[in-house]
Amino acid sequence: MIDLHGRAVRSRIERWRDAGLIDDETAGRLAAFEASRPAAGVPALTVIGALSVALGIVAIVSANWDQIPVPARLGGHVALNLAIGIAVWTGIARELLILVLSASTLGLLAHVGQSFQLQGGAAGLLAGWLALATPFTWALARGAANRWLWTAGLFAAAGTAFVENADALADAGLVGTSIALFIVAGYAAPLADRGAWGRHLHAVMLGVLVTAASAAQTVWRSDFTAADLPAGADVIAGAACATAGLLAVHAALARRAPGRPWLTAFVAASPAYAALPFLAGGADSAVVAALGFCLYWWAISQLAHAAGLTGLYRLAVLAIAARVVVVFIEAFGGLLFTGVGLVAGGVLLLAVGWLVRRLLRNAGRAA
Amino acid sequence: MRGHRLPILALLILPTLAVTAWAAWLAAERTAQPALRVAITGYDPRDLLRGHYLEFRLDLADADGLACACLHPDPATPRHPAAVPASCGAPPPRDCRHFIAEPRQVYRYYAAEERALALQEELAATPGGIAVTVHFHGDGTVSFSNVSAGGVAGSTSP
Repeated sequence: MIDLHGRAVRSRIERWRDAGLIDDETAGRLAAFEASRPAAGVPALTVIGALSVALGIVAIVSANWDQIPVPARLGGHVALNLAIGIAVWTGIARELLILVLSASTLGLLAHVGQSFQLQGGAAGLLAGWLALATPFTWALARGAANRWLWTAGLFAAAGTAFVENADALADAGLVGTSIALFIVAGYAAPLADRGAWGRHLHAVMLGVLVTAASAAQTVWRSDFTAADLPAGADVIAGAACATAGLLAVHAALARRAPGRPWLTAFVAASPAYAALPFLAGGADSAVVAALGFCLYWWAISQLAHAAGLTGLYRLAVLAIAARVVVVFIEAFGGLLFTGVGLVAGGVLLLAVGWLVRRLLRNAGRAA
Repeated sequence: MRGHRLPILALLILPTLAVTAWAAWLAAERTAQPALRVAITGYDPRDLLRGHYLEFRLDLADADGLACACLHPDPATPRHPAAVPASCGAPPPRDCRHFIAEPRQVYRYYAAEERALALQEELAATPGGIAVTVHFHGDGTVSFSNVSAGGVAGSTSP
């Protein structure tokens, strides 16, 4: 085998010696040290070879999928899952293999459904996967990849269940309440689990709440009256349920550690703020929609500033700046390609840029 | 940590064993479940395939609008059993061996690529269309096997 790595190292050592950076003795010791190490190409070739073998097996199995009897296919998948589980148990590449085991378990459930031509929907499949994968993922996984795969699975399961039952929920007037209960249940996770998973779900649901309240402000752009909205009671019930649930979670958490009244007020007011444009009727105004968004994020910036969360403060300032630019484009988009439009747009961008820099600098000093 | 080694192994292995037990139960149930060969029609009559899935309805002329039905094999019209209305809420009557909910819904059947293309050709070449074996679970849900142009007409149940 051509030792490209060794040749490159020797050449570099010779250059350092010729430049007078190292003496002959040091050059000799460095060359001997590098020569004693295993060639770097061997592990890379081993990985490529192993991957090639694995891909070849997958290709052969895929090409003959229909010819392989169902018990053999399922048996092979079960054996693979058991082998991965035992590998996790022995501690080999634990985080990566937990991720693989989790994905393979979902695949195994789908494989059984496919083999017996079951007619269940995606919600049942994902709920089954959550029931099976949650215990080992929560108990053993520590990394972000596993946390976010599980979170994606949770949201996919909830989303598909919601879609599959949307008509029944709408008929019962429970659309808002079901969404509220989902958010509150996740937000209350630290009450059941004080560790990283509880904090993770709590933060994710806070993110969902903020995203939903922010996105709801676009409804101000619509042109409808409150009387046009047949599900007004549903929206009110959902907002009330969310507010009551979130307040209860904050009250319970405050028993462990001193609460932050302004954060509690912000979180409890968010569902009502999200419901407001639906209940008031659209204002048919891009400016009102932008104002609703900016006001909400201004509140977030003030909370972040008070709590010393510089990163969140920066995000809030940038979100407001981006929204101001967007509303300008919405309102004066037609003028942008004229001379007046370009001048006005440029002045606005310069002003926003100056203001953002100033706010972020002040925040940095305060921190 | 050493004391927790076995519970951790159980956490990692039990989900797979649970799915294995479920698959074994499905296989055992399938041999005991009543089954019927029923003709199918494409959800889109021009095109039965959706990727690797066949999308189809059971070809039951008298089942339109029924929430639940009992299918009764009819020797005069093999692969087209008669659909008799049944109550969805109550348990099916004793003589209702082939109880089905929403008999005209769209079903999906997975087929590997080559098999799916062959089925498409079979459908085009067979005047009477193709049929599927319907396995009745007793609670109104069904599963399928053996989509093909041939097959035994009428009941295939044990």
